[in-house]
Amino acid sequence: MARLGTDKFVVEREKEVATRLSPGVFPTGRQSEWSAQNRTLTHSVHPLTNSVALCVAGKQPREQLKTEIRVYEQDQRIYVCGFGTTPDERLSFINDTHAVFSAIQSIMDARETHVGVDALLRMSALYREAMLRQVRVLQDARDSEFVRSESDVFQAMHAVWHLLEIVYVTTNSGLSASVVPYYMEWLNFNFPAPAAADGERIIGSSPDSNALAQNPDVWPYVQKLALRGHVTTVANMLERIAPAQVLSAAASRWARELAQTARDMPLASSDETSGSFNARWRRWNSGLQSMATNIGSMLDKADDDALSALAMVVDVMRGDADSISRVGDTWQDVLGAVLLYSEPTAQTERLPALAQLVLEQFESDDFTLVDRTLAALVRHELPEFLVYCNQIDAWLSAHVSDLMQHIGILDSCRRVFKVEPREHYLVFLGERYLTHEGLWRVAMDYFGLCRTRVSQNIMGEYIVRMPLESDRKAQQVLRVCERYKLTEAMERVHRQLGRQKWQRGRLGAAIAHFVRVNDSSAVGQICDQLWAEYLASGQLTYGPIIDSVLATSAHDRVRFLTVYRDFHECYKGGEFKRAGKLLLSILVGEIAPSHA
Amino acid sequence: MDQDQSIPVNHDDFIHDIAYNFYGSRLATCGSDRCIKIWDWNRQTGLWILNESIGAHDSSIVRLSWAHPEFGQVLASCSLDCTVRIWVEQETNMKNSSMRWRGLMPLGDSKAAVHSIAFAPEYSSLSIATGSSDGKVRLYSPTDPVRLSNWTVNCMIDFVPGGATDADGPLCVSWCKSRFSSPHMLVVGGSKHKNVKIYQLLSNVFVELLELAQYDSHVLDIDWAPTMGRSYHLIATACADGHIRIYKFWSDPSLAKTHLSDSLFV
Repeated sequence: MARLGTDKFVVEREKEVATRLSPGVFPTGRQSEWSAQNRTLTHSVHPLTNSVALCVAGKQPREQLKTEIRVYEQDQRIYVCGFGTTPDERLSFINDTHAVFSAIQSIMDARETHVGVDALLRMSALYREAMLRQVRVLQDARDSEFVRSESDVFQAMHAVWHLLEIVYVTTNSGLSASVVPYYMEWLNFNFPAPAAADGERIIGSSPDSNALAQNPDVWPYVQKLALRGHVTTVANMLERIAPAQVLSAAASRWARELAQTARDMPLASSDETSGSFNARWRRWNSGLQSMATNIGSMLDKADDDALSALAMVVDVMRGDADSISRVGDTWQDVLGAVLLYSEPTAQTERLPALAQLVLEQFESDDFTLVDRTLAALVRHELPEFLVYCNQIDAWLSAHVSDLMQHIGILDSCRRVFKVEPREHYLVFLGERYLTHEGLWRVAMDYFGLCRTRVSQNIMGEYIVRMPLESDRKAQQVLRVCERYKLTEAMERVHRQLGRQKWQRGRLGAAIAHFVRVNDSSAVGQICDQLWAEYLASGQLTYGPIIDSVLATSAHDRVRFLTVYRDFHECYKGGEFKRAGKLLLSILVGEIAPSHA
Repeated sequence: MDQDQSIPVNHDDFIHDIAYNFYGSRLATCGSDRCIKIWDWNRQTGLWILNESIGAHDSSIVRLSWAHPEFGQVLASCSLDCTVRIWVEQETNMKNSSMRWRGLMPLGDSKAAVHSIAFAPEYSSLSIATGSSDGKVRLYSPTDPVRLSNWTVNCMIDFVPGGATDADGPLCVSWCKSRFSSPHMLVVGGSKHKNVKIYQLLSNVFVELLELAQYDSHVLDIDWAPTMGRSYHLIATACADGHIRIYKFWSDPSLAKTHLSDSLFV
């Protein structure tokens, strides 16, 4: 199976994306003919979202054509095409996980060092809850290809995230050194087997123990239960089967013995030393070894299908690798059984070696993307793991790289990636979110909380392209600029707002924006416009406009208009002495424009 | 890519250019029918609505360029009629009334078709570079920045000394968008010598910095990528030999160098 080279990862975006336009611009297979008729495609890339406006274009203008070429209806369409867009169905998930992401960064800031394991575990659990919620929402939605695909993605993301949490967070917490119980919990939650419905069907179709013992599905079912560590259910099934008269006396006896042994399987507890647990485990395991030997010698003397099937269950439970491999369908199954029955106290460090032995039997070109991702994780091949995460979903790689940063394991990726991986994936995710109008704030937070020079620059480029359709939107944009100290972007936004308001005749507001960025030229021009309007109409109506900016502006033109207005009011009110002083102050202060 | 929408624009002849405005909320198209059409994005309906159709030039219109919104809604067009025209939106007039966009006096200094125009980045004052088949790049700006009127040539690049004609091929121009690294830089390519050069505007004079490349075929288009925090610049050229070439360019004198980063045959 082709594996990713670890020599040097070049993390690249899609270099080439293709689209099929509908209606098509030329008949199938006749592209050369179409192109020879003075046609090509031209485009404009949307400044914010991942979309492109395409249309058929003339290579040469009409005047330069030597022959008459007709233009058709399909040459007269603009096609707006997008890629990597964010569907509405993800909005709730994105908003929920954005809150968790922001919280992690805040905790990180407050602690100034690596985030505590407890806090990370809590945050990790919140991420998983969000994924599971999304799976449930999708399960309730009307069936479609999109819903099935999204459901697969979220289940895959949960499986990957859950295992990452176990391998690098939970078992590093010092609460429990053994990875085995957590692995089994992960396996049975994310890849449940055997199906509960199978058990119900088998029992439902078997009215008594004879029918149960003769059911062709019962022994494979019991073997699978044993493989997955469902020892209580194994015991229950064996106790139902044991009384069957169709069984030989030996099979019946050993079924009862195995049921009891299954119930006696030692479970680790927090108040027991590992030495004590290991001693109990060895005794239990040696019991199974004896059972296997005894059953084996009986099978040497006579064939007994039920006893053979029982022997397989015993072999699985005593940790026999060959038997486990025969019963297991997937490498995850086999690895779980090897851990559970051969190394019940194995720590995380043992995973790569054990996983390698198991994966050698299973790895092939038929491995799914999820298999490759999980395999890379258990082998601690983190750069490969991260790249595979990105192939599953951009959300996953962004948040995995963030988590890896906080638990201090991203350095191994930095040595082999050409780019800074966390920054790359967070920015990539932010750009994806920009494709949805309702997620621009979330996108900005991902850029901003990335906290690198590049992400800051990128954020500055994007924030100024937010359409300022309303005052409310403009204020939101300015707040984002303020929060992330995007001084230059804030200035540009103020200028844009100033120009917008100037064009719409909101001159006071326009002056206020230009004052914020110290654009005295623009302030002067607006004041000149107000003065010109006064001269043309003879009516001094600019008073309220100037009052609204007076407190914030020391601009000469603004002061002139203010003092001149005060002069007028004093004169109208008969306060001639004061009016005279004001006029004098204009002359002495030389604040009147030369054309005034 | 998924096709989201298909918009019938109904020019009466070939379309030659399409351009989003700064926010992506407007699209402008132009073509051999000598018209410019401007489309507005309606957020509520998700449809593109015709804002105006302008009979803009006396010959085919080949390129459009939007100014930064800091200067208002300003669109430029260039044409085989050897002129560049500037259009300013009049918000007080109704859409589709033929009075929504006011055309300023044509910029007619060129003696040949103008194939390329590009407004300067907004940190410069409002100005536009035009690349003409007469071998010259002209930089225009308005003497009246309020009414945006009276555009005159501030300075010029004599890209083809001795001049050139339409037969020598188009000139293409693109500005460096960065205001900190390499401000006021322009890349020009095309025409008779089929070369690409970088210039910098210093005290109202374009100074040639270096020749980036020379080809055996015409340069049809050129673009300077936004920097986005990189320590180097990326410039792409598209040639009639079917190649798109991407160059890395460091403007820091201690690092000043270029190299061909990638080449795609399309």
